[in-house]
Formats: sequence, structure tokens, C-alpha cells
Amino acid sequence: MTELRRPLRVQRPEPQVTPLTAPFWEATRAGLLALQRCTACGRFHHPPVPLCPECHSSSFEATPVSGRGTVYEYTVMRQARVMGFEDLVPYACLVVEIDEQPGVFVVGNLVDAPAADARVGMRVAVRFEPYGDEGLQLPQFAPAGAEES
Amino acid sequence: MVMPISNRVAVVGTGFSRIGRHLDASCGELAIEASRRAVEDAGLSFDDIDGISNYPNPSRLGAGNVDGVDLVTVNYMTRTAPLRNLRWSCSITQGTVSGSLVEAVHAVAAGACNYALVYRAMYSPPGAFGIADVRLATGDAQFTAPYGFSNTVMMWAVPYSRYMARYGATREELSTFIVGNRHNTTLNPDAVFHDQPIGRDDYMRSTMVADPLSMLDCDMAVDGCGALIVTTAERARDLPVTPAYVTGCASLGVGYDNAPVLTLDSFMNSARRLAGTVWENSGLGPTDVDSLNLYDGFSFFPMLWLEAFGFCGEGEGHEFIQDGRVALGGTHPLNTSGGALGMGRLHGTPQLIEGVRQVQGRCGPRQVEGCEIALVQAGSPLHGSGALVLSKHA
Repeated sequence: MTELRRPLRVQRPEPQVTPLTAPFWEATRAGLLALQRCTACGRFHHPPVPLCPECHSSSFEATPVSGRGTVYEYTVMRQARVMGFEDLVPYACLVVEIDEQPGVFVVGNLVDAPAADARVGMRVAVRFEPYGDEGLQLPQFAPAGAEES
Repeated sequence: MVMPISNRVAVVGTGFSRIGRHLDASCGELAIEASRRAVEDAGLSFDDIDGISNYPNPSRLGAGNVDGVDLVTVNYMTRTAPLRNLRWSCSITQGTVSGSLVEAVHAVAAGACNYALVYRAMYSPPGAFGIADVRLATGDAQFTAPYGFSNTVMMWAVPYSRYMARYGATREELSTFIVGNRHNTTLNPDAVFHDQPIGRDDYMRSTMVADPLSMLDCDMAVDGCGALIVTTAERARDLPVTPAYVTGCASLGVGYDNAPVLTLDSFMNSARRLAGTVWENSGLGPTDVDSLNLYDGFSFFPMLWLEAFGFCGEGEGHEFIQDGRVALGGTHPLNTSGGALGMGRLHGTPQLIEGVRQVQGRCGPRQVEGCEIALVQAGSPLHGSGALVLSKHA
């Protein structure tokens, strides 16, 4: 009975890494943001796809990118509505368009700055934070340095 | 090209169940209640119904879905009504209730059935709507869920943030629509917020959930169901009701751009694709429409659909909703039922049913004078959406 009354220990979700997504996550161990790139037409895709929507090739290579980009859209979550993230509110989620290719977006939280600083058009650069017990790291985004603005 | 079945099928009956935050009735009971009202509204009985179409997606994700309790499948309805003479049934996973309605129109036109029942039953779960225990982030969610980015309000907040930044749209501008919509709601006795008008200040002070969306930008989860009856134009003329002829319809509108979340561009691309197909299938355009019924599960959606359907130019929706233009009595009366923001989270049935009733001329104090053509749209480019043009005259 005591077991049943113990509150659930909710953890932040772990990515279920598959062969398609493994190159992305493996690169994070070395602190690299590497995105799926079609070896036939050279286009980046994220999230990884099984078939290039541009040229229909299925030959890909995870390719490191600069980790720099511009906030395309964002939100600041102000309520404790997501399990495992209750203590973090308010937190900003950014949709970052990477410099290497328009229309390719990576999601991350805003770090090294208050959530309220998030803006569309803000220049950001990737940061990595350890995530889970497997040695993976989570790409996050911080305001880019002064040389960017 | 105008679709070959234009005006050969009509919506003839509509009905809502009781609607409330947490009702003392199962989702199945409410689905039966709404369906019986729709069937009787058309002058029919359940024994006449030989087709059924639904979008059953549950409002409680993960474990614990029970047919008839928190979702209502066509199987539940078939054995509970019961539908003894069923010849056609359909259950879709995209396009919400508008998709179910479009499928029923096609089935009736093809002769697969004569009288089809279409419904959408909603359950308001204890705790939060659509919550899933996502300790393992699978598929594309592995690129969002680890960031605490797995809440529906957040998903919709992002394209709205882009819209505001790109076009200089403000919450103040949107408040015009919100306040007017609640006024419409006071004219609709079926609406859950029937007796709760709000002012501009109420909206501006509303608690933020996920910037830029506040509580009053979100529809409220309710228990309730809306149902419609579809038949051929010939059969419709023998019924004791005014038919709402289906002049054009389409169900698609899923975004196909590859991104971790739905972007504004992806929303607009697929919305325009749906709008273009519906105008082509109907042979009509924005200047023909008397009654606009555009899905408003989140407050800013109608602005985007106004643009997609060509009622105004790209990026002009936030200006178009000013100056009483979309109010009852304006040139483009929008969501006279109060929509989902006023009636509760009924996933598009407020739009579909209001459009039918406007064409039938039975909306009482909120009737659009001389309404002959209604545009109804439900769903979103995330879940798929569909739209229909309904006409008073075949």
C-alpha cells in the first residue's frame, strides 16, 4: 500500500533513438550539431526523413552545421502543464532556422538568457547540455555573441 | 472544374447534445442524444440511417480509452442507436468532422447509402486535455519533447508568434474578434458561454498560457456532441426541412513541410491548397459567401483562414477583422454561433452546424439576413482539415 501512495517520479522524456535518428544523437556526444544531409542533392533535412523530399534519394550523411541561426518562431510556456517541466516555467522554446539552409528548423530552449528575452529574428548559437544517463547531449540555443548583432 | 456531384447532396438535419464542462453523462450518451436530435430534425428515424461517418480521435491520450465513455466509435453508435439498416460506415483519422462530412457526401453521391449520420463526440477529461505520458519521446517528438515542447497550446503559439512578428499583428487587434465572438455567443442558447459576454479588458488581462496565447485564446474542453444528416438532393426535397445543398467540398489540408513543429508557412501553404480546391470544386469564390464559419480552436485561426480563402490579402487578416466587418450585421459575418471559443471544444461542429442552419434561415436573433451561401471549415493543417460550400438553392 505504501508503494501505491508514493508519488510517481516523472522524468523528462528520453529520445527513442532509431537508426534514422542515431547520427543526430551520436554527434551530440562530441558537442556537434549534425543534421541529416542528402548526399545526392546536398539538402539538409530535420527531423530526419527516409526519403529526400526534394530528389527522392535515400542516401544520407549526418553533416555538422555551424549551430548558428535565427529564431523563426517561439513560445514562452508560463504554466506547469508539461510533465517533468513543472519546475522550469517560464521557459522559452525556440524554433531556429539554421544558417546553412532556409526552411530547416531545429527546436531548443533559450539558455543563458531569461525566457522573456525570446524574440522572432533573434540570433542564436547552439550550446550543449548533458541529457540522461547515456552520454547524450541536448542541443540548446543561447543568444549569439555581440559580433552577430 | 466544378465537381460533378455539386448540389446533388444536401445536409438536412442537425443536432447538438447538452454541452458542458463536466456533464453527468457519458460521451456515448451525448452522441446518441445529438444524433437522435439530428435524425428527428430531418424528419427521420434511426431505422432510416444506412450510413455513418465519424472522426473518433480521443481527447485523452494513452491508456484508458473506453468506447462510449471517452470516445465514440461508429461501432458503438451502430449497436447502441441501433442502426439496423446500415450499409456504409467510415471512420477517418484526418480532417476532423469536416473530413467525416465530406466522406459522407461522397458516399451518398455514389449511392453507397441514402441517409448518412455524421457526428463528433467530445469528452472533457479530468485533468488536462490531450495529456500523454511521454517519458519516451518517439519519432519526431524526440526533437521537441525533451524541451518541454509537447503541449498543444505551445504547438499553436509558435506559428502565431511568427504571424505577429511578420505582419505587426497585436493582441489588441485580435480582441476585436474575441469580444464580438462572445457577443454572438450570447445569441446562441446551445453555447456553454451563452451567459458570459466579455470585454476587451477581460481579454487583455487573460492569464497567459504559452506566449502569445492566453486562456481566452483557447477553446474550453467540454462534454458534448454535434451531429448532421446527409442525403441526396432528391430525397431532401421530400423531407420537411430546407436542404443545405453541398455545392463544393474538399478534405485535405495537412501540412507536408518537414519540420519539428508546424510553421506558419506550412500552415498557410496547406490552408491555401484546401481553399483553392474548395473554390474550384464549387465554382464559387469569396465574394459569393454570406456566412463564414471558420474553425477557431485557437483564436487566431480564423484570421489565417480569412487570408487562405482570399477574403483578404496575405497578412491582412488582423486588419480585416476590425471595424465590425466580421460582426453580425457586417459584410462578412464570421462564426455567428460563437464557434468553439463560445460553444466549447466541439471540434468543428459549431462551424458545420451553424453554416447549415444559416442557409436554412433558422438562426433566430443571429440569422444573417438573406443568407444563401455559407462557407464552413473545420480542422487544421496539423490534423488535416476540410471545408464545404453550402447553398440554399441547388
